[in-house]
Amino acid sequence: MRLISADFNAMTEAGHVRLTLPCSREDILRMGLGPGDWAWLSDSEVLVGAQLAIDDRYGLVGVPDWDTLVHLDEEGADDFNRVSAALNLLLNGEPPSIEEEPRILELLTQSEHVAPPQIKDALPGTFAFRRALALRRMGKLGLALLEIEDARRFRPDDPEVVFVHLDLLRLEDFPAAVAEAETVAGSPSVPALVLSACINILATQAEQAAADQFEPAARRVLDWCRRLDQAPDREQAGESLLALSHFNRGLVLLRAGRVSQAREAFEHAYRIYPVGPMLHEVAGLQTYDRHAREIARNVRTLAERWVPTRPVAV
Amino acid sequence: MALIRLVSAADSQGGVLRAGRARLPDDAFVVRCGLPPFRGRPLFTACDDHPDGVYGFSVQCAAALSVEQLVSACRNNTVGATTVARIRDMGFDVVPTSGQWWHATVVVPKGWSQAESERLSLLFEPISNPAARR
Repeated sequence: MRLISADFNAMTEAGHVRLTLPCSREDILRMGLGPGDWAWLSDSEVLVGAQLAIDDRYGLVGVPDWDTLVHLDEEGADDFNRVSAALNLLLNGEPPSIEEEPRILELLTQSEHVAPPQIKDALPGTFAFRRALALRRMGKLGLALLEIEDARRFRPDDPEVVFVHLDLLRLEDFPAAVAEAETVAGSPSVPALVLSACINILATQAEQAAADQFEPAARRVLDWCRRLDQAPDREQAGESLLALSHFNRGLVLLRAGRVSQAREAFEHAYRIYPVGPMLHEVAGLQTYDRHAREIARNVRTLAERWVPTRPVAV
Repeated sequence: MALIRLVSAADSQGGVLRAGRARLPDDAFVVRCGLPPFRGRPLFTACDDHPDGVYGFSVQCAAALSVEQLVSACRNNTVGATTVARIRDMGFDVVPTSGQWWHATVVVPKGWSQAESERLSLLFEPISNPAARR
């Protein structure tokens, strides 16, 4: 966890945390952080996500997002068994609602704080990964990216971690997502799940590309789609993400003017994952126009829910 | 990512120096968010130069406010409370300074020792904060 020692007594009129105290400065210097970066601020009793900024009067401050507040001083928060039982109750039953995610975030953080070393060692990156998912659902993308980067340091080859990392980069820092997708997909052994995220990123780029830059981007999307078709582990990507890849292929073909192939891809997508009216509407697209781009945007928004999440027992 | 630059309310009001305000009465309560004796954030490491021109650590303090009112500024479940008089008895001072709510600074000399800071932290009595801000 990227943690900065902070004093929540030292607040500016705007409610920002002054980070000019020696305890804060030391952490900031050690981690090489600056304005714009996200981090967690903590006085060891409460902890909150914040973005660093410069205040003309106070110097470096943290702009806290109080939706992400975690009480480490809550009664019972120092009892690992109690915290992990409460957490597992939320994680291992019905899929949690969005309203439950802040509490999951809090319990994960409390749990990691008091977990015995052997549990932390046995689950490297697990707390950060699940925190990234909670923060993503809460719409806290900067902090979600921070957590998934932390998880990826511990689990660089875990397909789910890499998938979520690529997906968050796509939402938060698109040029970085394109660069990362190109690097990751450069490996011949990239897992199908990860390749599906790379395709989604590159297809978005192809969609946004100027006319003279479209062809090379489109060629690459179609090439990666063929790789996904032949991937022995493609079932691990799940029906929804395989359908999304066919949708991306169809959209690129549509823009390239290969309408019948595009429709074939759209129909294939709908056959694989006939959920919701959106993909049905996609199957009717004949021209790459504003309407098609709007549908593409809607499908990608819908697909943001299709994040692979397995139960995480702590 | 764009550089984030903020203008504080104090600056937007002409950078008023609040340290020159009326002296806090001896019987005013002083609250510091966190569990005394603040082992998680020792007073010794919580001191800096406040833009109002004093050196020390941050607290909540204002004349005629109850502990309950001052505590409402805190998110911690436990806070420390004392009075201005007790701090002055130890040779330090409390002055209102710019910041959120009833921000004030316990002014200490720059060269103060860790032992002095630990003695000062013992002045703060733990108070539970039933309405910790979420």
